[in-house]
Amino acid sequence: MELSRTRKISYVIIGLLLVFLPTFVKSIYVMHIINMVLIYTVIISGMNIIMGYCGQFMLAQAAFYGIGAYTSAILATRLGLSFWICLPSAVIVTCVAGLLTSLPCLKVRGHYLAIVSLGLAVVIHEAMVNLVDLTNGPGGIIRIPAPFLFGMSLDTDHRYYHLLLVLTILSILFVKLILESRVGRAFIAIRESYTAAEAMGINHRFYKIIGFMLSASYAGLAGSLYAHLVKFISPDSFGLEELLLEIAMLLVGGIGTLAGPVLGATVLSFGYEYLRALKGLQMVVYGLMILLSVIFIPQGLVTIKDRVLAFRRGS
Amino acid sequence: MRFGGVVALNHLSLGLNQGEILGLIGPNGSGKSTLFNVVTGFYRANEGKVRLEEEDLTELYPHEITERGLARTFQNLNLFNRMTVLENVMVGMHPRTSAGLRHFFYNPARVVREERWMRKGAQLILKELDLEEYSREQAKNLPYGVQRRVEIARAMATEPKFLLLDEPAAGLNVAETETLQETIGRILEKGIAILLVEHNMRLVMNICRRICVLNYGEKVAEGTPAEINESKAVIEAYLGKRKR
Repeated sequence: MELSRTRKISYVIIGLLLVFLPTFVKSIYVMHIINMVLIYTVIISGMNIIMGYCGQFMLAQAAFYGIGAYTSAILATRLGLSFWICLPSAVIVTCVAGLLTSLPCLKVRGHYLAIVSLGLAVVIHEAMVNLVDLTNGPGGIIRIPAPFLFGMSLDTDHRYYHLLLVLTILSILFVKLILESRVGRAFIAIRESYTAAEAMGINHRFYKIIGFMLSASYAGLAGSLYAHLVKFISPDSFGLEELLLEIAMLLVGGIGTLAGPVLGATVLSFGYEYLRALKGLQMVVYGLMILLSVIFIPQGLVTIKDRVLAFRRGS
Repeated sequence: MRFGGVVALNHLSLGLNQGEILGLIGPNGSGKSTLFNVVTGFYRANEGKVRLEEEDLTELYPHEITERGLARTFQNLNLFNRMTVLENVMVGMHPRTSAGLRHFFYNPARVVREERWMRKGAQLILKELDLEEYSREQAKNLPYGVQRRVEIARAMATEPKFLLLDEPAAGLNVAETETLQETIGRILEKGIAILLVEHNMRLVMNICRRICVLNYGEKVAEGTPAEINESKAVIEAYLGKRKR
């Protein structure tokens, strides 16, 4: 990768800022928002793979998020397993869930796929509420232990941050890696024209399954990280409301781009919190914000820079 | 091949040998596109078989058929619009490579190697078809004639033994059609067999040694250009169609 000197320097500066962020941020509240932004970045990046790059309307991401969280929580609280076993286990279980969910979705496309995946998400959510022996139902799971790293318990937001930062960055880099490879091209080919993709030897059903599995894995990772951060989970966090928020983040940030998920997660998380000052109007303005941005900037906030430049040039 | 009550292809039998070019002509609705779709696996024939060198392709999916050496272009262009020309052609190399997601984890060297191989191969094909200057352009921004060439380049990337061209000259001007003729000639020199569906009669008469005429899903004539020109059946089928 050829980078100009200014680019390299700015990356180093940003890197340093990110690494030392917890020392600048005094408020636990803000730190928590930042952590949630990182978690959402992972979720939305995953969603972006199947929806943005593969072009499939897969709406079960919130459910996968929940499967990851619950798997990790159950393994930790019932079996007393270490976080470092729970995390990969959650990813694997969610990945398998992605595989299973993809199978009924193979025969449907577009709006129908959206409905089928949504239906599956509802089923999964219901399972969380009703399989009380497994999940403790609506009561949720409490006292999820924090991870232990280098002899230290990561039980505060400030301490959890670096773990999240590393995993989030790795997640984004992995997306980039996939994109610039044969697999990534296969995804995009399917998005652009699944007919032509088939004609070029791409088994579009196979790649759909892989896309589902990848997205689910990302959500599973995020779910596990979430569970051990907030130490309490319940089915409420993994339902339709959550899904809508995720879709909004993906669209507002910029679907089908690398930076989109980050932007969407950041803007919508901080936006939500800062709008609290408006009390009753908070949700109204929040909703309006999302609505307007999707209408007027459908390609997402990522494109703002280019649009402003193009506008200035008078094109 | 039947669609509900409509018989689109009625006991049609065609053979294509290596290194030869067979022209397929016929009025609109005569079943040419249906034939294409049946042969390439997009439709499954109700009766009959598709065979490639002893192997039965009838039940296979399109991507499996492409893997076995049959490639096609599309009548209404089916490029990957939001990809560059180079990327479009690199997708064509998909069936000849096999680096999958799992290799990222246990054999990344192979991923890198195959990527490099695909890039080089694609660039070579672009060079052969005079598309180098467009390699970084987005497919959707290209002029129509260039897009058609990219479509052919992409199909060539799959290293086919048989190439099915679906009205490649549609919408091309005289100069572009001549370039197309040269390109097809070069493809034939490589020993690739071509099935050419076309409405441009001059092109078909110029490059095809054997022509087959379809009407209402049936073969009404087959022979050399000269024979086809004389054939009453053909003239009937095309009544009202001007030879260009």
